[in-house]
Amino acid sequence: MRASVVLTCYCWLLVRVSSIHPECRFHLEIQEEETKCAELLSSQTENQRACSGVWDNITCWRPADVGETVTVPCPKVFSNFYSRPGNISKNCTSDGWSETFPDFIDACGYNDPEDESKISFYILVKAIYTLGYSVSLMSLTTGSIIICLFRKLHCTRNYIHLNLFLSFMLRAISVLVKDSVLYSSSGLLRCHDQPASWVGCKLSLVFFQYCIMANFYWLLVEGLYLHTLLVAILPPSRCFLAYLLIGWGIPSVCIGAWTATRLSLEDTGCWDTNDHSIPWWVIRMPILISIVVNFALFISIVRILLQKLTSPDVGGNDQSQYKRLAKSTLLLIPLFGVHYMVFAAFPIGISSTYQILFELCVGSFQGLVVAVLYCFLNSEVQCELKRRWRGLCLTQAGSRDYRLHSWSMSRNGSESALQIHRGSRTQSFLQSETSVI
Amino acid sequence: MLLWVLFVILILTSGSHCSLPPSPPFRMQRHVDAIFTTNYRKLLSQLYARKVIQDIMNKQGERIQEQRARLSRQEDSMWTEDKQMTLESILQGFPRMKPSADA
Repeated sequence: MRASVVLTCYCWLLVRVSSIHPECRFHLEIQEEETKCAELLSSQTENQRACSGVWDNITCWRPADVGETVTVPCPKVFSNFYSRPGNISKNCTSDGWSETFPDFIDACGYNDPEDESKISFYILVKAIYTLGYSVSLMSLTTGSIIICLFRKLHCTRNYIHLNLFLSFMLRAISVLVKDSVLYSSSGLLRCHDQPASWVGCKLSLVFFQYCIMANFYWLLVEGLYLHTLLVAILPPSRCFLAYLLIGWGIPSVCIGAWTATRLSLEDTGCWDTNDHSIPWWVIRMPILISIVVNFALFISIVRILLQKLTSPDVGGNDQSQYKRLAKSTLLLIPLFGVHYMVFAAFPIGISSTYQILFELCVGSFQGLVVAVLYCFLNSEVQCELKRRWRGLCLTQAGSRDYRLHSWSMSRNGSESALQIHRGSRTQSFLQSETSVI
Repeated sequence: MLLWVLFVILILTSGSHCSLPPSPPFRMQRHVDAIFTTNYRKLLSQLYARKVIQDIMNKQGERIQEQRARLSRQEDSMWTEDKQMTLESILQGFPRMKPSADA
């Protein structure tokens, strides 16, 4: 399974190197300029000159007499890549038009990127995160199926985990869809399909932005839920509707606002570049808020865990207490997305290259880590899987079934007993969340 | 609790402070997926623009040679053809550029 994924990524890498998707915008703008040039030249048919007006595929040159020099600004089609304003000229000679001078690239300060090394970096990053999102998608799908299948795993905590899994899955899907739409060499964005393609393209970007934000907010919901559970302010089950509204509702409002600002302020291309500050902030600020709030919740939860684990209610020596605290803290990092704080806390002097490497290459595997820690390594999940496995494998298990049933009853009893003692919530959380030794 | 609140305020203040200067852009960069998409798209645009420019500059050379040949023929037939027709035939000789899916 993974070998095929790696092979797929490798094939995508090859395709990416061998072809670059054409930009419709250039062709459209060049066509517009050509149309204007034709109109201009046709309006001057009454004058016969030594050098005829000409469109040289990028610039319009008016008719001229021998000895005359015609100067025009640099072609505006590529103005995004010029480092300075400039002009280009042609001389009308007895042999016709001269070559354009000075050289296009020199006159206009055309900025050529270090394309080889840079493009290789982006291709490598894209291959890695494609692998990461693909692996995460498969593991999260498996984990979601497991949680849905076993009724004993149905509870508020696992419902929230399920929504988090779903947001991770949607994020992975949206990234893969966005990449296939934007970077595919299959001609999805052929120039003559302009109107239809742009709509589909923009919708894929809207879906992409929504799924990213929903993922951040479900990380926040995990933090809110756990913090509520430990502080015991409200009955956790009553908050589930609020959690759904936070996880799916807030991103809907924010992406709606982003779409509106995008349409009114920066309706350019496929909405895949972020040049205008207002749409960019509309989408960036809610994510930043969720990261900061979740980090605050993380700090608070670690502090609460430290207090409870060192209280006399919990047995064991000091060493085991600190081991539990360390384990809990490490477990919460991928669940809350605490690693996003690394670049939020050090904004100065850190280039986007390292952020892309860390958050995109490593972060794309976050879904896998969450699925493993909170599903496959969860003690309840493992018990259910083992019980089902035994049920499938053993036919003469009368006494064992009875023992399992008895164990299940005792577990339920223990669980109800735990409800009475508030101080034992931490222990319950630790025991049920993972069985990592 | 108070220390935690101060920490949060410090983070937010630091964030807002860093976002005030207009340059460099995206200093407070978040949402790295969108950053990657923006940067990668711009890079691809630059690569494609260079390819388009090279194609155009190659065609320019061909166009000038063609024009000189046509002007030479024009001088020979100066007294035998109508000026209007000559100019129109020259204009019609310039094929319109069509978008190429293979470009």
